[in-house]
Amino acid sequence: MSEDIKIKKLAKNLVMITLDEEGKIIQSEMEKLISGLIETQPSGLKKLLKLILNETKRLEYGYSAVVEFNGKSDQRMVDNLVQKLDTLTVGKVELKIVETPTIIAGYRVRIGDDVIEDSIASRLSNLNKSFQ
Amino acid sequence: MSAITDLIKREIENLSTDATRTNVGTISTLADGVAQVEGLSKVMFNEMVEFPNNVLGIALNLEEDSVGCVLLGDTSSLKEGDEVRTTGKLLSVPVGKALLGRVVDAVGRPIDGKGPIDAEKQFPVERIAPGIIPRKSVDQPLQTGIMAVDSMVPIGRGQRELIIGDRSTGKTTIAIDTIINQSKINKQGENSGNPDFRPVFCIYVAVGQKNSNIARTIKLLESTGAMDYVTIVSAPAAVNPANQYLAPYSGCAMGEWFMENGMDALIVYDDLSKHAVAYRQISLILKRPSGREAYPGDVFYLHSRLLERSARLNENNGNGSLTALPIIETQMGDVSGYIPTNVISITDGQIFLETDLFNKGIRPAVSVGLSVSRVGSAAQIKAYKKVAGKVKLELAQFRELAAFSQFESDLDASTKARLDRGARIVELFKQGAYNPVPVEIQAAVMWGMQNDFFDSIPVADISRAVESLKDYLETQGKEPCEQIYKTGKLEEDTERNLRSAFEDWKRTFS
Repeated sequence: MSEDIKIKKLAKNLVMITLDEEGKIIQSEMEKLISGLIETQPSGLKKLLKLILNETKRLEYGYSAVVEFNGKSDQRMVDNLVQKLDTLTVGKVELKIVETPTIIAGYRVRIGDDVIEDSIASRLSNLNKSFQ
Repeated sequence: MSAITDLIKREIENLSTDATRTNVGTISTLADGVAQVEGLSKVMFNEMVEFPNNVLGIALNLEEDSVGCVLLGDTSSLKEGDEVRTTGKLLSVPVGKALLGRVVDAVGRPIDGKGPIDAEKQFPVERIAPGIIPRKSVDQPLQTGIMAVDSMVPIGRGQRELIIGDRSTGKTTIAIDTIINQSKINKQGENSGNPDFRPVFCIYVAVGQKNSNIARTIKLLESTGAMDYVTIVSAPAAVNPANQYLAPYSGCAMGEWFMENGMDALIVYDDLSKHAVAYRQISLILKRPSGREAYPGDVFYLHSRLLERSARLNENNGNGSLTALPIIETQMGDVSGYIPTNVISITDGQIFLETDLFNKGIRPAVSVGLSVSRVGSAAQIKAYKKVAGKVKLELAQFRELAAFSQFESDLDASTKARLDRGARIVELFKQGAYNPVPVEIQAAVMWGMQNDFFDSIPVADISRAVESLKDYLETQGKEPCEQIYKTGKLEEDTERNLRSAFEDWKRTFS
């Protein structure tokens, strides 16, 4: 097994021990893990921390949705979105609402590596592509 | 102006306003035209992915939590962390007659400055080769216009004939000659008004070549008027290896359109050695396990799946064909190299070009012993079959006898006669570049050889005599050639006419 694969596997296993029963990261466990690693200073620490960060991000994406919109957020729209996303995913989804002026109008939801988008920016981009 | 507004209106009307669902990932590493992307969990193998700034890529390595993508455009604007999106489409290229006369890149985009290509259809670059049922055996000739090839290693429509040899031995010249000859035959056929005439459309795929060489080829094809029937797929050495890897498959998809629509096409892959090198480069960057000469384990499949797509389809499937002329460059004449042996085993024969012959001035430098066509005389017109049947054997015997006779001072009459005949055949087969000879004239010249019309001419004058004879047969003595062209046969009447034409010509030749 190459060094890269070994270190990737180690990062994955380390993150696994910080998870609760629902598969979510327990913050205190993660803090303990990081401080332990910094204390012991294993070889390739920087790479290992980077991989742990990636793995954490990957897991977080799985149970949190980032909703980007422009303008005022509407509670009814948020409730509808949460309801809809709960039917699409396994387990409860945490919603993060972010204001992104570049989408002009509409919304863009990212959950895991799936993106659901209905924004003016994406329509303009599609129109631009159709002319090329 | 109104056309532009109409176009914009039409595009707006056709534009989908539904919410879109895409799968995204982020670039984690980027090197040598290959990006490792995290995410993209729903990407398909060989799917086209979209990077920022309209750069396209293909997902080639699907790993547990990342995807290896080869990039097809300018990578200088990309950086780590950029978003990558799936497109839901396999890589496709435009196909059809709109591509004739055009120069395109590996993904079918025009690079000749002649404006956009109005192609009606797109074909995926990777397709499964026709199976056993729709195929039929090769039985129609595809004339190269090169006497040494058409007589000794005839090529049929739907065949895969490898052109192999060291650098600068005339491999590309044979391929280009063949393309030029197709255009001549196409024009002749179209002018004849024969409803059964089937033109051959050509695709020339340039992989890993110098831009100057490709430009020279384009200029040559344009100056000979062949470009009307040709599409050039260009992936020069200057573009990234992903484009070089893709170009042959793109060209093949373009050729398949002709085949599947009941037409005949010829594709030249120039060359597959560089294609294998580009694939090796990609595979090494993608960290795929390497084998012999650092090539990945599937380098045989790389070429077999490409060349198997050339076929002759039966009447129930449109009767079309795709003939392939792959080119392989050997090192120091070694045909037992890894890639040469792979491609030799896939193709239906090979034209081997020898450096020694080339340097001796025997051009095309076709090696009689090592060149073979597994389709054989099934791909020759009857007239040619009749006159060229024994020539390969005669020439092979000549080469062997010539080697032995170096040590022998006193030769018997029969050996001397064979040596004389062989030396004349060698001279007869000498042919200038980009000057293909119509098959009816080739058959007539070969007939003259078989009937001893060249025996009284000194060996040193044979080339001059052949040129003079060709001129004669194209002008004053064209009647027997026209008969061969029309019937494809060498009947008694034609032979009589040939004899009198040869006697006439001999009187004028000094």
